[in-house]
This record gives sequence, C-alpha cells and structure tokens, in this order.
Amino acid sequence: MDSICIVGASLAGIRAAQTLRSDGFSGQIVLVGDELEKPYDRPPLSKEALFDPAYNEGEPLYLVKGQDYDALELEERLGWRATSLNVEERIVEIGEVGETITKTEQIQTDAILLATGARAINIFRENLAGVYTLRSFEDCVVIRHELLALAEQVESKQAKSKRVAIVGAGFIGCEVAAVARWLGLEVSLIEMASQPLSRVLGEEIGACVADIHREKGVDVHLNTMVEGLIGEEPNRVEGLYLVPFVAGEGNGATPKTAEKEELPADLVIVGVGATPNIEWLEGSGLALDEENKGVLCDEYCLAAENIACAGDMASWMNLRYKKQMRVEHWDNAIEQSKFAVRNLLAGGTSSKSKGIQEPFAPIPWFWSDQYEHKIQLSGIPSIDSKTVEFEILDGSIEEKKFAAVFKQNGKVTGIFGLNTPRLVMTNRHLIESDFPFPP
Amino acid sequence: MKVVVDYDLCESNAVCMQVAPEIFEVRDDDFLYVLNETPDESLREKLVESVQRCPKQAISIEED
Ligand SMILES: Cc1cc2nc3c(=O)[nH]c(=O)nc-3n(C[C@H](O)[C@H](O)[C@H](O)COP(=O)(O)OP(=O)(O)OC[C@H]3O[C@@H](n4cnc5c(N)ncnc54)[C@H](O)[C@@H]3O)c2cc1C
Ligand code: SF4
Repeated sequence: MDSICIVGASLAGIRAAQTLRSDGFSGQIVLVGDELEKPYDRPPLSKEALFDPAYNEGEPLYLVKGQDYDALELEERLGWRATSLNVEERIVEIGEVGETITKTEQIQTDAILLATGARAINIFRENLAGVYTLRSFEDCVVIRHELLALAEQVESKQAKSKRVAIVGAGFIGCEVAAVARWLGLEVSLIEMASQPLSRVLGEEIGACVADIHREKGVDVHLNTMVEGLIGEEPNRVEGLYLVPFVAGEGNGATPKTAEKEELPADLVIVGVGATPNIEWLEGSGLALDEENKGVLCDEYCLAAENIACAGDMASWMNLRYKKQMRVEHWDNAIEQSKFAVRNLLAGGTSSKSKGIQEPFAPIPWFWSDQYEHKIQLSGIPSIDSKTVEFEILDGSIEEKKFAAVFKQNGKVTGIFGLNTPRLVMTNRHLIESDFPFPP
Repeated sequence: MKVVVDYDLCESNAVCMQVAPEIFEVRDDDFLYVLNETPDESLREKLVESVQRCPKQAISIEED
C-alpha cells in the first residue's frame, strides 16, 4: 500500500493519519473533509466552548496542533466533499463546497478510509430563526452568540427572563441545558421518553439525571412530544407546541395524549440525535446496514477490499458481543480508526505491517459533563434485552455520587459512574470477564 | 521525553492509566499521579496513545 485517501477530516480521520505515520507509513495520505477547519474536537462544543470566556471564540480546539500537524504531511482537501465512490477502482470523486459544486476532482489511491461521521437530525420543517442543531464549530459559534446575547439582556434588565427550549434530553441536550442555566437563562428540557437517557441508563438512573436538572431549576417535561414550532416564517421562533402523553393509558403505538400546550421560548435547540453521513455512498455497491444505519463492515472494520470505515458512520461486527453495532462515542472513533488503518496496512503490501488483521472488539466508553457533575459509562447496559438492572457499587444515588454495575442475565454489561470517574475505568474488568475477547 | 499533565484539565477518569499503567495512576483519592515523568523510549507508543485518548487533552509530551 503506497497511498490512502481518508474521507472525513475529523476525529476518526485525523487519528487514522496519526496511526499511519507512527506505524511508519511514508506513502501519500489525502485527507478530504467538507468543513474548512482542520480537524477539531467536538465534545467541547456542547460544554465549555458554548460559554466559557477562556475558550478562544475564534478557533476550535484542534485535535493535532502546529508542527505535529505539519509533520503528518497530509495532502489536504479541506472544503471538499466526497460525492461518490468507485469501489473496484478505489476512486473517490470530490467537489469543492460552494453554493453549488462546480469544481470536481478524482482521487485514486491504493486504500480508502471512510470516516464521514454523522450529522444532527432536525425534526422541524418550519423556517424560523432561532432554531438550531449542534454538531459543528460553526453551529457552536452561532448558538454561543445567541445564548450570550440572551444572557446579556437578562443581566442588563432589558428583559426579565429569557427561555431556551431544548428538544430531546439526550447527552447533548442535557449538556446545553446545563450551559444555559449557568448563564442565568430559563431552560425547558423536553423529552419523549419517561426519563432522560432512559433508553441507555434505565428508568432509575434516568430519573436521577432528571433530578439533577430540576435541582438546577430546569423545567423538565417528560413523556412529551413536540408537535411544532410557534412563530411566523421567516421571523423568529416564539415557542413550541407540546403534546404530553398520558402515563399508563393507550399503548406504545398509539399512546393517549393530553391537550396541546404552548411553551414560549426565545431560542430552540434540537438535540434529538444524529444520523450517519452515508448518502453519498448510495449506488457505490457498498452494503449499508439497515438496522444500525451506517456502512456495513466486518469485524476488521473492512467494507470491501482495501476499503475500511471508522467512527460514527461505521457499523461493524463487534465479536466481543457477537453483534453488529454502530457507536457514536468519541473514544470509539479513535480506537476504531487505529484498527481500521492497521487492517488496511495488513491487507495491503506494506512491508511495515505485520500482515495480520486484528478484529476490533472494544468495550465502549463514554463521558458527559453536566453542571459540576461528571457522568461516565463503560459497556452497553442493555445489550441483551430492553430492561436494565443495576446494583450500586459505591456511594448512593441520593448524594449524587455513585458507581453502579449493570447486569443482564447474570452478566455484567456496564459500569456507570456519577461523579466517580475513576471507578468506571477501574471496574471495567468486570465487563471484560463476563464478555471476554477473545472468548 | 517528558510527560506533562495539565491538572486543571484532568478529570481523573483513568483512561491514561488503562492505556499506560506504567506511567499513570489514579489513586483512591481520585487524583492522577504520574509514576514515571521521564519514561523510556520503549513506552513512547503507550504514551502517545494516552495523549490521543485523553478526553480532556490534558497530557502532552515534551521532547528533550
Ligand atoms: C456537540 C457534541 C458533543 C459531544 N460530546 C461527546 C462526549 O462528551 N463524549 C463522547 O464520548 N462523545 C461525544 N460526542 C461524540 C463524538 O464527538 C463523535 O463520536 C465523534 O466526533 C465521531 O468522530 P467521526 O470522525 O467519526 O465523525 P465526525 O466528528 O462527525 O466527523 C465527520 C467529518 O466528515 C465530514 N464529512 C461528512 N460527509 C462528508 C463528505 N461526503 N465528504 C467529506 N467530508 C464529509 C463532516 O463534515 C465531519 O467533519 C459529541 C458530539 C457532538 C457533536
Ligand atoms: S486520561 Fe486525561 S483526564 Fe483522564 S485521568 Fe488521564 S490525564 Fe486525566
């Protein structure tokens, strides 16, 4: 292997380039990315970068800085979007991003790493100002300005209060809620499920997360659907129409709903999840995974001969769990990119590689910061069924400082920590021994 | 090479300790201790991985 094209210039893409170079690969690395910025870190975008004056507003937190970046000797195509892939010939067609794509190029290399990640889902069709999703540095800068402007109006007593409505109490929604409260804004957090994060953490720990937000003064709406935005196009959003479900009545498919309510809001942040950027691969012949979305890969993260995937867009066979999975976690993108490019090197003719491919079979790990609280999760709590059980390992839910062990069918599936970051990592071996790899 | 940790950024999640237990230890007091500030060249790969996988970008390497 003498050349590789990495498509997607973010976490998985840049860590892949670093691995290639530190493994001694001296060939050509083309890095294609449709954002203009060099690869930067996303987790701060919903945390300190949204409000902290210490955080340089002019630029994101780059993943590789200065000389270290130059030393990678990348052939950059930043501001270029991949539009199609020829799998047999390994040709990536790219176009320069503008109002319309006019300039195009074809890149032919020995190997390709696909790392186009995911984008935030927006559920609203209405064209109103003041409604945002959060995925990129650009999004972060705009939302930061909006938040600071609202906070300024409250502080200078121009307005009595200003309200931010957050649709979806997932990790990003919860983090933005924390930032907005910190800035002294009123916050409404609206979630369809019975508790925030309950699909991942179950009811009881989800309820603890809801409590954290209520304690900080967030107006939490659970079991509530957002039906639409209030406002006149193309003016500014004025609020949301909420439809609460009536608990315990109706069934899953047609839950009983209460009367529609109006919730006034000055700013709306939509945090209902992400979807992989894989549309450009339709028609390439690569198989897509219908269930997890994502590009279908084997246990080596290979989608085809000399083509691998890593990060949020990859659905691969995790042999530890014997499950096809797609994981949208920071640490996963790093680890997977390393395995993916090493497996490309091993499959190719590079004399530097060991020539042996290794399956990627991690125990996922994730963190989230909300207010002063540190959340950590290792493993996949509900790997075998929908209900999750847990036991407290240390501390207590009441004091908001605890570590818990998730179990299913007698096996340890996950470790959760609220303000016990060390314990999540140091107890990982419990998952390891119940889900060993190699078996 | 020298290991430098920005303790203001570190949140003691022990990711580095998992990767390079020869260099990092998060103790029961929940603080990170650098066990070996000037690790041997043979630990470079593990140290580089710790730098890359620290979620808070708290670790850096100072070359001699
Ligand atoms: C606001 C926010 C907060 C987060 N916080 C946490 C956290 O606290 N903890 C945690 O574990 N994880 C967190 N994550 C998740 C983590 O950041 C992602 O898992 C990680 O960024 C995935 O990296 P990736 O390289 O696979 O994809 P991405 O980072 O999505 O990068 C993909 C890149 O490819 C580009 N691209 C897409 N299509 C094309 C194309 N056709 N041609 C060229 N380029 C293309 C995209 O523009 C993007 O630059 C957070 C994510 C966000 C958005
Ligand atoms: S990985 Fe980073 S944040 Fe975690 S303990 Fe090590 S230095 Fe601190």
